[in-house]
This record gives sequence, C-alpha cells and structure tokens, in this order.
Amino acid sequence: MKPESLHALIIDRHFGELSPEAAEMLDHHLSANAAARAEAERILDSLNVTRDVVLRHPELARVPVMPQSKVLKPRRSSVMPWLARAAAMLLLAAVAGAGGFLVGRSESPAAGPVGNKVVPRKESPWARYRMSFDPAGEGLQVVRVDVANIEKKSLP
Amino acid sequence: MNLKLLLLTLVALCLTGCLPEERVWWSLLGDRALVSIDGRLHLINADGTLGQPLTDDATMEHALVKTVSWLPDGSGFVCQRTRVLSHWEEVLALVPADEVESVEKLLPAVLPLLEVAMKLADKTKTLEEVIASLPPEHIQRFASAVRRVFEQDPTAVEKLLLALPQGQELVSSLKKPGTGYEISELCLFKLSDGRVTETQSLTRSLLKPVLMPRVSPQQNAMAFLRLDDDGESAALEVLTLDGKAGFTVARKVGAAFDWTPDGRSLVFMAPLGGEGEKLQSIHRVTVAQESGALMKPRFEKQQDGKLVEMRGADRLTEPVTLATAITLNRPVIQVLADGRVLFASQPITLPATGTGPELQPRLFVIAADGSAVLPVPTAPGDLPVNLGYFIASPDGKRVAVVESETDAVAVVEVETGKTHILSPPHPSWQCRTMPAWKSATELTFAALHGNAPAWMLWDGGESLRCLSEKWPTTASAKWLENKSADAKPEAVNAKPDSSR
Repeated sequence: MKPESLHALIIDRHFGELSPEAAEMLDHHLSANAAARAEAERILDSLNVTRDVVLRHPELARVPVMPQSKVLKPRRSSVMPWLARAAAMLLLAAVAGAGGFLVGRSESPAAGPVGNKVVPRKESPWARYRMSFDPAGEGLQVVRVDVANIEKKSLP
Repeated sequence: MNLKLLLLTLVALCLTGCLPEERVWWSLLGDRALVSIDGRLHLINADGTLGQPLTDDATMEHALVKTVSWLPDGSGFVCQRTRVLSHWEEVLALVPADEVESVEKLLPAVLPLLEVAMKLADKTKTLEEVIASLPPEHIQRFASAVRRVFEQDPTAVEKLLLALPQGQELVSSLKKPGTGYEISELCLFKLSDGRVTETQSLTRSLLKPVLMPRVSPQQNAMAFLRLDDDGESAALEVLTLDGKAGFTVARKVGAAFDWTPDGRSLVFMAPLGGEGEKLQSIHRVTVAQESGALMKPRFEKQQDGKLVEMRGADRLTEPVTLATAITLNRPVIQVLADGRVLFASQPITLPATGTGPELQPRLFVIAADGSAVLPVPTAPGDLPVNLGYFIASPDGKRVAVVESETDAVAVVEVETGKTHILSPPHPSWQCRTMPAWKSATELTFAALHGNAPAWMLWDGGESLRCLSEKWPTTASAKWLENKSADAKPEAVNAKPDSSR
C-alpha cells in the first residue's frame, strides 16, 4: 500500500468516514505490517496533538460552525473592503435591503432646493453602464456599454 | 488552500495597484509637495523640480494605503511606514504588550500544527479547516509565531516545512533577506533644508495595521485608522503629535473621515450594518478642547468599579449623526473650508420600476450646522458612476473628479454644478493617480502628455503645463495605465476641451 493511501485510510477512519468493511481491511493490514502500524500511530498522535492545540486555543478554530461540505477558500484579510468590493451589484443588494427604510420617502435629491437648471451632458467622458439580469443565475449584473467588447463586470 | 499560500499571504499584505491612489501631496502653502515614486518619497518645489529621495526611512513601498499628511506649518509630515525587524527581541521593544502576549501564547502550538500539516499533506482537510477558520488577526498571529519559532529552532521548522508541498518555497520565504516581522507604524518626519532631520515613531502595531494619518489643521493632534481584528473595518483614533496621549473615537468605522476647519472635530462615515453595507451614516464628534488638549474620556471608572458618564466642556460626547447615505464606491468624506461636508451618494426612491434606480451617484453637501443636505447641481453625465475618487479644493469651491475606468479628469464647481473636463478620456487609458490641489485655483493631475503619463498643472485657464517634463521617464509611467495589451498610443495631449 502506498503511504499516501495509508494516511488517507487512517484519517478517514479517525473521522468515521470509513466503511466497516474497509476498516476491517485496514486493521488487517496494520496487524500484518509493523511499519504501517507505526506510521498509523504517528498520524493518530498528530491528530491528537491537533485536538489538544485547538482545545488549548479555542480561538484558533471555528470548525463547529463550518459546514463540512463548504468549499474551502483562502482567507485573505481584506485590507480595505471598499477597494475590492463590487460596488454596483452590492448596491442593488443594499438598495433591496434598504427598501423598507426608504419606502415612502418621496423626496428626490435631484429635485432639491438648488434651482439651477441643468442640461444633460451631450457626451459624457465617463464610463457608462447599464443593468442587466443574468438568467444564468448571477442575478443583476453591471454591464459597461461604451467599450467595443462589452463585458460584464463589477465596478471597482 | 495550502499552507504556503497562507504564509505568503501573512508575510506580505499588499494591495493590487489598479485603482487611483494618492501619489502627490502638496503642503498647505502649495510651495512644495511630497511625491511617491516607486515607493520612495521625494520633495518637489512649486514648479515641479524633483529632489532626491528623502530618506530610506520614509519608504511607502509596503504602505497599505499611501497617505501623507503635512503639518500645518509645512515643517514636516506624518506617514505610514512598515518596518521589517529580523529579531523578536526588537519587536518586543516596540509593539504593545498585549500583541506580544498574543503571539507568545501561540508559540507552543506552532510545531505541533506544522507536524500535523506534514502528516496530513495529502489529506489536508483537518488542518485546512483549522487554518482557514482562523480570524485574520489570528492568521497574522500565526505567521508571527511561525517566524518566532523559526528564529528559535530553524532546523525543526525547516524539516517540517520541507515535508509540505512546495515546502522549499516556504523555507525560502522565511530565510529571504529583508524579510522579518513587519511592524506598521505612523511616523512624524521633520524637514529642514529639504531633508529629513528628525524621525519620531508615534504609534506602532504588529497585528493591527495603523494607517491613513490625518493631521489636525489647527491642533497638535492627528487622526488615523487602526484596522480591526476582522480586517474589514477599523477604529478611528486620535493621538497627540508627541504620541503620548490619545483615544479611540469610534469603532467599526469606514475609511472616510476628515477634520473640521477648526481642527477640533472629526467627521466620519460608519456603515449602518455589517460587512458590505452600503448604507452609511455620517457623524461628527468633537475630540479636542478649545485649549487644544484632547478631550477627556466620556466615562470614568469609580472606586466601586462602576462606569459613570462625566459631563463637561472637556469631556468627549456622543457623536452627532449628520446624514445617511448610500455609497456605491469607495466612501469619501471631505469637510470644506466653510464647515460644510462633501460626500457622494446614490439618490434613491423605492419602490422603483424595472431593475431599480439608474446608477447615478451624485455629490452632496451637508450644511455646516447639519440642518440640510443639498445636492451639487451637476447634470446627468457630468459625474462618473464610479464616484469614489474626488477631492475638493482647499477653499471648498471646486471638486476634482477622476475614475478608475477612464483617464478623464474633471472639475466641478460646488455651487453651480458647472463641470469642466480638463482631460478627456483616451481609449484604453485608465487613471491610477488621484489629483492633488496645489492651491485653491491650481490643480495637478495625471494625464497623457505626448504619449506618456505625465503630471500636469491646471491653473484655471485654458491651457495645461507639464510639471514632470524633467522627471525620469519612468517616474510617472504608472500614474495612468494602458489596458490595451499591444497599445501603441498616438501622440496625444491633455487639454481642457469641454465645459458646460
């Protein structure tokens, strides 16, 4: 048996993920192979060390609240969240969430007390976007519309 | 996730350079500026003549957010720097005791965890779950603890790391010259004859970076942010410029704050909800007494252990909420010279038909007494949807605006909303540098000059002047970005070509 397979089987059994038949075969292999048995003991010792560490430093682990099926992704400290957020899509979420807060407020800032008559700029220098619903399940997308290759993207 | 990625993430936090960032900071007198070129600070005089790098101590290479704040009299400046220390003993002498204790408490766990990582290299579920679930603060703790144990027992750590996938790279990253414990600190640099003559570290941290210093325009104090444990929010703090007294003004704030003209109060944004919240409230709180001394705490512990609120002109009070806004982009707050507060927000009325309101954030000003919030009367199309990169002139009458998707530069008159396009967009070029006001009527900004990014000066007229003409060609090369892979830009010049 390859060492990698042995490690996997030992760990799977430790977590109760091995079928009774496979566990029996593993026990048989360990009983007949002293080196494998020693390796199994080392791995189990390590697992115990892990458990002890986590018990000693419970702040290190939030394992109980993590669904086992959750896909693990690298956690990066978001140094400044506003640098990385997709603003427009989140805005829509915020807008939706803020609906109850804002419903009934009929005041439009555009109709504020400043009386200067404004004329829309004929050619805006800025990037232009439109909202688009993605039936593939991505929800509302912000689509830049003033570039040759129209691409879905989020605002920085 | 593998451990390498984790450790590398820990060892070097850095920002992607794809958004406009501050690179030039004019003194309040407009007679000279500090310029960040390749992470080094240089002085330039009023006509743009570039000096030598100021000091190796003032490098901004590792700064989380590049910010410089001049002292009001122009005699020096405060900025963030990252100091790399090779030995834990050096760290002990500099960082707060609670941070040292926090790391040292973790030391006994390092070797066992690495041993487990080695044995589970082909079955990383358990260790990954432990590590991936570390809160950001603890990840930083773990990185520091690994380095500390490596310092004590390099053979043991190296042996364990080498057994991991790509372990050699992990070991190399620990051994690499110039790496070590990274201390974030805010430093005061005093200038004389164009050189740094004195450096004073005002506050430091190993685990919670301190950033965005902003010196009070009138008082002997500065405000800054200290990142929270979660890395997603920050605490707003004030500190005297000798570093001896200070306090936390507010927790869980955003990255937008500014001093009032009298230098005694701070205006800041804070999300109403949690991470990703776009509803922001804008607050004002007085942090300095009329004498200039910092306010005393609002609560004091009595002999019986109870906290009692203390009242008086010298006591901190609860912040006053001035307004509520929806911020689509990078939140920005700027207090104008007359005390009004400038910010950007998406105007909104709900319910709305279709996909909801058109994305069209606008500039607003809050009256100095907080009695009203009025829009800057710009026309549709005058402002970018990505309205997160703007800066008001020192007199508060105009606002310079750029965005990250084009290289256009505009100036908006606050009272009338009249908008001047100082530099039109050029295909494929995008802005990576914030404009900087030299004076109330002079704006400097990055724009194409010839066929390369340059630092331009607009003095309110119809023409522009290049301030970086005599700089090395590479100095401002990254101040705009050309997104076209095979870009061969035609010779173009920035020119104020449109106004309304």
